[in-house]
Amino acid sequence: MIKKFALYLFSVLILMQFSITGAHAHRTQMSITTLEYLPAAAGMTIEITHKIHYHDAQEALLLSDQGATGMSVMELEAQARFALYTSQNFSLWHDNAKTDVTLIGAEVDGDYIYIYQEATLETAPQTITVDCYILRDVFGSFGNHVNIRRGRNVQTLIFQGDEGVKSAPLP
Amino acid sequence: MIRVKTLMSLVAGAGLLLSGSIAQADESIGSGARAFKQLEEILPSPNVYRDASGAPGPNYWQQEADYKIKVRLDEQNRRIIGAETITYTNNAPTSLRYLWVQLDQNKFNNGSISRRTETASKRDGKDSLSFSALRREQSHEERPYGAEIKAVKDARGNDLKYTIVDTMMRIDLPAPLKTGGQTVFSIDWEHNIIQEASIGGRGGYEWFEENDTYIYFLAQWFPRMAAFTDYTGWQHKQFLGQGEFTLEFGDYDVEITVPSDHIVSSTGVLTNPGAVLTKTQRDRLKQAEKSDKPIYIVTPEEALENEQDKETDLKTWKFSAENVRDFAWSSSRKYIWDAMAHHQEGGKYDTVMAMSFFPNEADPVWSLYSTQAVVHTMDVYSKYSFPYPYPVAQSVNTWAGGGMEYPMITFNGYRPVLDKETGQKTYSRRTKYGLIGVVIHEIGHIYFPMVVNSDERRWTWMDEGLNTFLEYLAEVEWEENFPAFGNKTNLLDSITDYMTSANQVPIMTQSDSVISFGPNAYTKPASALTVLRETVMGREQFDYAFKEYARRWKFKRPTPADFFRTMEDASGVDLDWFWRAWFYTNDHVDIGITDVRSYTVSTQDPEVEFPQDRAQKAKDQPEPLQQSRNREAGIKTRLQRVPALKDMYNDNDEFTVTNKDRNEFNSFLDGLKPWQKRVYEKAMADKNFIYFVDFKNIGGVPSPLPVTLHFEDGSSEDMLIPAEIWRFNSMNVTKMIIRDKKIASVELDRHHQTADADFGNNHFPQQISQSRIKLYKSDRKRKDLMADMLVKLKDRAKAEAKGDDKEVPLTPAN
Ligand SMILES: [Zn+2]
Repeated sequence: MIKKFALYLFSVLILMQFSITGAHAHRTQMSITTLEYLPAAAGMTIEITHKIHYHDAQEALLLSDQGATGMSVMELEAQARFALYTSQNFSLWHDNAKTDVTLIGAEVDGDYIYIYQEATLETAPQTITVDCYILRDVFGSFGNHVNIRRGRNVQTLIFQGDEGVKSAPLP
Repeated sequence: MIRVKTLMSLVAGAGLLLSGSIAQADESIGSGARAFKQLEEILPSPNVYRDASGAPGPNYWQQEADYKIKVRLDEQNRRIIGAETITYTNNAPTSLRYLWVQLDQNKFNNGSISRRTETASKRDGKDSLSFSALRREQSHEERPYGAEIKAVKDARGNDLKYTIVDTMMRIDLPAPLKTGGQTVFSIDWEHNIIQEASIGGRGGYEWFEENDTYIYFLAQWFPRMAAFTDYTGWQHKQFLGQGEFTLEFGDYDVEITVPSDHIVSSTGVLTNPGAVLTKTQRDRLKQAEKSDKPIYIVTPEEALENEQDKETDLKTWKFSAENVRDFAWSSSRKYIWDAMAHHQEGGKYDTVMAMSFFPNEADPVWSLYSTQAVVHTMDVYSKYSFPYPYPVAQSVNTWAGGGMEYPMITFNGYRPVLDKETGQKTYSRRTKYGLIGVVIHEIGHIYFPMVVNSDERRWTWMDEGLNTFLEYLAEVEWEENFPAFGNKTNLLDSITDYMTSANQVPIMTQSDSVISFGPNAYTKPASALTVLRETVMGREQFDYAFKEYARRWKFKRPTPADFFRTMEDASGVDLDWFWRAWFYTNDHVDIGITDVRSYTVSTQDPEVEFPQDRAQKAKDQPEPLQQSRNREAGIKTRLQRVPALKDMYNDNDEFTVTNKDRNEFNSFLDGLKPWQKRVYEKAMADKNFIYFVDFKNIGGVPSPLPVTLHFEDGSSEDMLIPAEIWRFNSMNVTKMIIRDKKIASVELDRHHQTADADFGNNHFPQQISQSRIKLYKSDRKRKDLMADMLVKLKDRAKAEAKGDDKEVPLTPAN
């Protein structure tokens, strides 16, 4: 027997669906997300930093609806919008239980916009599951690179095209 | 601060310490030998076709395939109808009983390996389908794709037996084709053209919904001879999408029949301008041949007018191309066309026509930058390789994003966007530099791999990596602080996130299995070459060797070993360790300075040294609190209470100079041989400071060490220690540095020239760094402003979401 579910075509809340397609012959743009697993008094804390090139964020804003058109990434509101957009396109599970992630804020430094999130865990997990869909809805060739770090150990998850959730053991 | 100690004795062999620490943990023993092992052990053996020097061998050979093609664009049905005659010359030392032809359009057939191995996606833990994925499936259902072979015949018109295997077709020859022999055969075929935006590919058509107009761009569009090589026989890797193409050189005569109001851009030279261009257009072309700035052959206004009507009459454009390994073309009634001349010396063509074709949707940014970027690319690339070897170089806007290369013609993306509020077309910074970058990149590919014909299906890095490296050189020469690859000016700062990540594959990975295609096949090899040029080899040696590689393999077929060997052979620099670490492993560059110890040479004279030692001891071992607090509390020691306990040792501490000490010093001086005495006396006069600097190789890649010494007097000095310092021990080394002034701190790689991934350990004394997120949180004011804004936006989104129906449910089928 095959179970049936309703399948949803997805779109994005803050940024409009607008896909720039392209061949793979040229370079691909990507975001870099770092999850830093740190020991805490009880359990662990996770520092989440998303690093997205300023120009990519600016281009996405140019294509966005809901009044963000023409807004510069240098503006606080644009950064906040981008932070919200990012937090809506990034989810985290530990040992298959969804983890609450707190949005801390965002800032532009040099060529990049940084979006910060945080989460806490009561115990060290075995498996980390990530859904990262940053700007892949906007630029066809965009990729998301997620580095999961604990001390010097790293695990990496790479998201491209329409790829969905991926898992890795705690490094 | 670096503390100064005295070095107790001069050891005659102290210089040996330069080559590494003596006692190390077990794992480091032999680590240098492993890192610096000869690369010959993994490279293919040199032979008569490929020399050990990296040059083509005395019996080097390659096949030739010449084409005569007639093709018609059926615009009504968005379809290609073609007939070709191929003349194939067998230069291989073996005879061939069958030939393989590539049918790349078959990738789009529903039965192809590529289609059947596509995988589904999940979102938020659930099965999901995006609009674009569904559109793609719908396009595949709409009509069939893939080459429809109508006839395969020999020169006399007899049918030839053929077998299609996915994206390849084998033609069985009636008799073996001997060495030096030639065979002529023809193929008639047709295929439906894909809509590139919905299916995705390197060619197809683009539909402009707003005014129902089209751009056609035909790539991998005709049955092409598969490569037959000395290193793998017939190219037998099917076209899966990621690994591009390797083909044979040959001459092409192609007749392209399109609606009469179309403008065609194509590989080759137009041989019948009188039949397809107006007098005005031909006059403007003549003018452009003498112009040092772009001149319109078709103006934006003319193109706008042209795209209004839809002619059904046909015209045939004839193109001829010599010594190319592929052929592509584009056709549209939307095209604006501009051209200017590029002048060069020493090449086959003194004047090369640089041209661009683009719709009004691409302006104003295309009129400004495309053709200029084409000329700039030839300027820079020719300097590092060879003069541009063809009569034309074209940039064609065939899509909104992306880029793809063919001989003499490239398909490039980037367009301005329409501002929804003002209705004005505006282009962002990203679009401007993206366009210049993509034009440089794709025109650059005409050198690598269209002329230096590396095997893209096997080794993507050989063309993408080398080309990205040169693209970067050209971008930095376009303007300073060009937001180059990864939108950073320093390429080496953009690669470290990738190189420190897990789940990597080495650069030396077959094209279709490469994970993280962009960083792996483009940025990392380009970074490697940048480190070679700026740090390991130096510009002079690198440029000479790179140019030699380009010269040797121009219009030939190099493999990775030919590149590795040539770069060493021509420069005289051993790079086995470099190729091994950067191309065969997933290691990264991270060198840390773990300790710096500072000394002066001891006089060994007790009268000089002992007082200093006493002072040092007082500094090193402060008085214990148990003792000082006893004194403060007025507690008297037994010695103070019983004076009879006192003797000479209570008056003189361990640092009091005795006659024995003086005698020892004198006999030390007497025992010195004359040359040792000279060394001693010079050291006493110099009063130098001697530093032992410990380096730890954390990332695994042996790296040259660009060290900066910051002196206490405020001056500084740069020095470059070659990577060979790691040859005995590739994990830990100690370098001795002697200077006549005190060093305050030591810094490693201050110009970011080695791709070091962690600058947190590049200083001694170490500089404290805090995580970005902690720093951000510590700035309360800024953090609160952002928090308020987030709340405001969230509330607004909540209000809007009530009537919002962006998620479209699919009804489950029964
Ligand atoms: Zn490329």
